[in-house]
Amino acid sequence: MNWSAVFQFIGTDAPTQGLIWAIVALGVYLSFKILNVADMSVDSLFPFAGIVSLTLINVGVPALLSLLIATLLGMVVGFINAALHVYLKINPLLASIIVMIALYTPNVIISKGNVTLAENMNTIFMTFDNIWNNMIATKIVVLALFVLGTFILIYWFFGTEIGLSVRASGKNETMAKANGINTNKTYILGLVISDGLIALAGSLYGQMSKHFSADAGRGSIVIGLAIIFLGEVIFANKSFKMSLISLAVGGLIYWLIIDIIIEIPSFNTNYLNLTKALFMTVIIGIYELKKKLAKKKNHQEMPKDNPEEVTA
Amino acid sequence: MKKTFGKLLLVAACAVPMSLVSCSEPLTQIGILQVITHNALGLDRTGFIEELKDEGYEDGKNIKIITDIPEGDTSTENSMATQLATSCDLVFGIATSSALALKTAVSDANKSIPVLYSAVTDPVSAKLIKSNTDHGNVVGTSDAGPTEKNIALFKKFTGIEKIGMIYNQAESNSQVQKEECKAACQDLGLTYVDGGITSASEIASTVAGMIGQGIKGLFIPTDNTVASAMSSLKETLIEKKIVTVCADKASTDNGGSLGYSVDYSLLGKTTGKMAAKLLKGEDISTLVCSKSDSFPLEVNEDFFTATGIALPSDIEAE
Repeated sequence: MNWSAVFQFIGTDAPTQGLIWAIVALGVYLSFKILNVADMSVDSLFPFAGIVSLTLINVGVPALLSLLIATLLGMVVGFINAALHVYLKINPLLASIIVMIALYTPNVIISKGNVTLAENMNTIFMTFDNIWNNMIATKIVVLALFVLGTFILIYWFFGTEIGLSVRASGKNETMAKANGINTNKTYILGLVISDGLIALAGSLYGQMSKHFSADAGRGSIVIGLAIIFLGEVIFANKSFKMSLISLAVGGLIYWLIIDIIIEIPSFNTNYLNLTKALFMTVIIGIYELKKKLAKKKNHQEMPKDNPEEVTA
Repeated sequence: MKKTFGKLLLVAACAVPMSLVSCSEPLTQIGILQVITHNALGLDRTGFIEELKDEGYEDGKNIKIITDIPEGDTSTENSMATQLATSCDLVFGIATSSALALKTAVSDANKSIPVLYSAVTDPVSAKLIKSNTDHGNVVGTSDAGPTEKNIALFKKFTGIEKIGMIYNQAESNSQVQKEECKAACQDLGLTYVDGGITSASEIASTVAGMIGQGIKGLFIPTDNTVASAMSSLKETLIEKKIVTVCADKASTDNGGSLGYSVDYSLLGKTTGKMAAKLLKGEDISTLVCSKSDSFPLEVNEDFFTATGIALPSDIEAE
């Protein structure tokens, strides 16, 4: 079966959007769920990486290298973000907002408002497109490889001793400190990885859409959070592995639902944001309700709960 | 796990028939993508649709028009562009980002349907087209305003030596006009004061700051962010007697003083005429990308009566 033809016929880009936003969701998952901090810098970092990547390609840097540079810069941003909290004791939410505001300036200066891929330059997708000459299929395959690679890497890393200590510090900082973990270091490491992932997704997105404007990232973190909750609602399983899988599937389903909403004949797109908000309320509502019910059930089964436990 | 797969199947089952419904239309489909709900861009769209109607193509009769407005959200914009590109026979992007999204979506879907654009200030530097005649499957109209002509208006008032320009830094259209404004100021011997903002909430304080620097005139380019917040400046501008030249009619009416403005409705009509030609079977390479060429002078009488500034006689004559 020719899947690319099917997607083309349906006219949806949910597979490609879903794959990229799965990486964003993974980054947000690491900060929001594992480190317990809302990282607002995502909204500026996502376009920053896309703009940097496209600008580098336009001056002649190979697509893959530009992807790598953008990701490394994202990691530097993550370090600054974490350092503001660790060394200057700024509240993590405020620190990430400071970074978000600061990044706006390089975004505007580099892009002059809007950056577009030059005519004769190749993105990472075009490089692979020469193989079978179907852009939509190429995008899906290349992005799937990136998603698979990053997810396996993250799964492996958070199973190592240092990865486990990052997860432990997010779950219970006092307990982690008591066990000899330097929680400052684990916090920095966690945010560096998280922001590196966001930057990777941003530069992939830039190369996919071939243009990026400086204020394009607005609401990125909200989409990331929506995918996390959607994944948790669909997959009841609580293990780390299942959480990761639920992010990948959640990304696809989120964009399928958005596409369906847009495609409803006679749907007035002025109502889109309200519809999205309602959609998110429903997902998060179900999530919270399920959590409450599960707690109740747990409470009946075992009266002593064990908050220090870190599930591997 | 069984339950999970059940839910997944449900989503997939909903997705396919929905999409099939909108794909099986026998009429010629025209997709319009407009980046954000906005007065000027709306005029552009209605002008386009009206002109098509005048040319004999009416929505629901012999064509079907699908309008998508992503409200400034880039990811949604790309999703909408993909849908329109795959299901339509002609697509129309209003403003730079929508036009670019459609161009990418059409080429990625391996199609060569015409992509029309409008309200793009500089289509060449945005890499939408190579030149007005070498444009591939993309054609349309630019909303570049007569910046130089507008800046020259300041010279007609006595005592204006320093002027400011307020614009959103993230809009490429405004960045283009900033350079034009700077150059015009230099030619005319005016001092330029930069007023770049990052969001609508900064407009009032930035204008106050520029007035503090002694500007006597203010230039408002075709900038979506500033246009949407123009009326909030009205009182300050009258109180401080700042002559404000605007490049679009709505801004002039909402608190500006005067200006040669871009007629977005006319721009939409010109683009609509191009679309009608393409629907009649004309080859896209014979069309030439155009700029708006008539810029009517708009004057906000209220400003001049409120401030007591006299309207120069040659402007009054126009």
